[in-house]
Amino acid sequence: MNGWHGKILKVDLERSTITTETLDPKMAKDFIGGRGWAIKYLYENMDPTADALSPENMLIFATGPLTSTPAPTGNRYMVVTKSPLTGAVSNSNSGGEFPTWMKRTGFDLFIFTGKAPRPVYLWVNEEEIEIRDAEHLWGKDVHTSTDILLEETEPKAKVACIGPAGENLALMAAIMNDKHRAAARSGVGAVMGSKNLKGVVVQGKKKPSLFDKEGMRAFSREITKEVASDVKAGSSLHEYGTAYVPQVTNELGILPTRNFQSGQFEGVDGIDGPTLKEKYLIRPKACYRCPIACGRLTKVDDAKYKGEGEGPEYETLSAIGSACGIDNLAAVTKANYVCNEMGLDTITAGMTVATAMEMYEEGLIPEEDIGYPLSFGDPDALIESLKIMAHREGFGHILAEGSYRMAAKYGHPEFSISAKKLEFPGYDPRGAKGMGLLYATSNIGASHMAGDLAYAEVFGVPKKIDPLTIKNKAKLIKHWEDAFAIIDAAGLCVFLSVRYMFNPEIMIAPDNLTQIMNFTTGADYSMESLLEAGERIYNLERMFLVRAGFNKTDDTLPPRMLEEPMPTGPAQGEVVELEDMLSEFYKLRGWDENGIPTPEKLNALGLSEA
Amino acid sequence: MKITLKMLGTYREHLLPKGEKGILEVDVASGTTVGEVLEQFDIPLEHQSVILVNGRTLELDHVLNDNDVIAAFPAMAGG
Ligand code: SF4
Repeated sequence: MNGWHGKILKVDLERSTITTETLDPKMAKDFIGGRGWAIKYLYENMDPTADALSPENMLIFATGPLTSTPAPTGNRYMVVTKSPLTGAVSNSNSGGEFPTWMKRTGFDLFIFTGKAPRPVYLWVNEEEIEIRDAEHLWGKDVHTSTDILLEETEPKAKVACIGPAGENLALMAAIMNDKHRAAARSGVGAVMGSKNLKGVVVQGKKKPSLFDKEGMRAFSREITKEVASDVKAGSSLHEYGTAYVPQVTNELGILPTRNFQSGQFEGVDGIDGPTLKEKYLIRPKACYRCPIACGRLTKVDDAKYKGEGEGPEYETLSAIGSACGIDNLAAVTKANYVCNEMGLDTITAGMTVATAMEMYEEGLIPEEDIGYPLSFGDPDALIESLKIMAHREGFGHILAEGSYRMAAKYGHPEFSISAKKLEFPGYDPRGAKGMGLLYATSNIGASHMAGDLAYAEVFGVPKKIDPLTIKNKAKLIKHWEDAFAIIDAAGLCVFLSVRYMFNPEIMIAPDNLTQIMNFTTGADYSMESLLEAGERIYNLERMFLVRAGFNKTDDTLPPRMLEEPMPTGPAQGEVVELEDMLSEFYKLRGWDENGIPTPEKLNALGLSEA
Repeated sequence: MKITLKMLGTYREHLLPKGEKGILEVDVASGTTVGEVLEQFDIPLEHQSVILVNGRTLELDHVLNDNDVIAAFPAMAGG
């Protein structure tokens, strides 16, 4: 096989056994790789109703056919499992260097089953695959653990591991790789913790073979050149990282402010990209083989918030900054470092604190439960809350359950700004209607990564569309969800892909991506067959949800989005007209009125056995 | 009449040296359109820019009113 190694590593943590499996080429093509193969395995080999934190759950690390190839940003992997936060499927994406090195071990996927009797880590290189004791690492933060793991294995190896949050089964625990990158969302780190798996260390030189090496090289070079010249001409992503975005969303009136009570934050200048650049930036940082380099290597000297690391990115500035009413960038950056060291998803962690702040101010969560005042705008209370959340200490036990369970425990689930119990990312959907439909329908809950129409509604990529209308949004969201499934399955970064791998005129057709996939795999994809594969992946994930007990009632948004008009700004007076978009969306998807894929649809996608 | 220009992301530089933080108040004649103002400051008008008036997406031939805020930034995936 080309692009794909066609090999899977299976680790039974219970019995401490390791086996390998080869892949059927037809299944490889039909499900592309990464997120696609992973859901196929998950669907066929586990009971979707199983407890996500039980040994029955499977944890899958999945690279794509383009990971570790010359494709620009071919540096991603997905973590796929059943989420303990949402009860739905998880597919969390991360870049950096770990995924490339993972693929170079000669395996496309690592599948973990069962639970190790004691803490362990996995060490994979070309000569050996070993499950090793990790008792001495338990309790240690991500940075320390990574350093020790590299010392014990090989300094040039790459590490993905959990911190205290994952060990303590905090439901927003992330799996961190290369210290600062995160497969963050929906509690994948807690699943890893529940398996007593502290880390995975990889090293290898087995690059995947390419079907048409010359064609691939030339084509990738062309795209890289185009990106590089755009970067040179002035790219906000390179210049400021995603930190340039708060100003943009604030201008549109959709910057999450004080737990989404409004969409414009008076302190926005304090937490934006130029301020970050001026005060704390050391230099931009790129994932492996990326010409954009949107990462930020930063350092804070301020005595109280001293630290060094990566970030913050937009989502963190929004969830930990404006959503908590905090305009102190030193504190937000420090809070970001704390999340990285503890292994927390900054979005759910920040948004859970934001919900707690609103409920505290409303008198719904008493101060004696929390142990300290927890008002909007208090950076020290925020940082303290993140620490106790990761350690499940005191009130941290409640915070570690995420905003929905916390708010429900105090009798007011409506204060949780989440869909399928996953907290919203940084776009208030009352001013970006397509995002509202996306949050409500996404298989993993409210994630922008499931089909980020904000690119078009907010950022003008591939072209600007009106964010306030619901017209055409059902069609676009269906299409973008399928397209993003392809990107995730192929192993690319969405930032680059949407702009350079898709044809903007057809909003959006994977023209360049189809070519790159064919140069790599030789599998003779057409744009249509690739899009159909994306749709196949999306529908199989949906079937996992259906079997886990989800239906239309779960495809919804918090009452604040549906009933409380946006109070101020350009989106003033707006709510999300979800019902209208939803019924159109189900029809376009070929699902029944209860949101369940029809047998005809499943047949057409080759999923008749689902 | 007075309007405010707010240049975001890398477009901040278009307003230098006067509009240091990417913000500049300018006087324009009544009847001036969004496109006419942006042209003066060399802001690309085609699809590579996102242009908002008071936070809303409007056409370039939109005629400005007193106290309007025009924001612009390069189209670029992000967030
Ligand atoms: S655009 Fe940013 S996140 Fe994507 S690969 Fe490049 S550096 Fe990594």
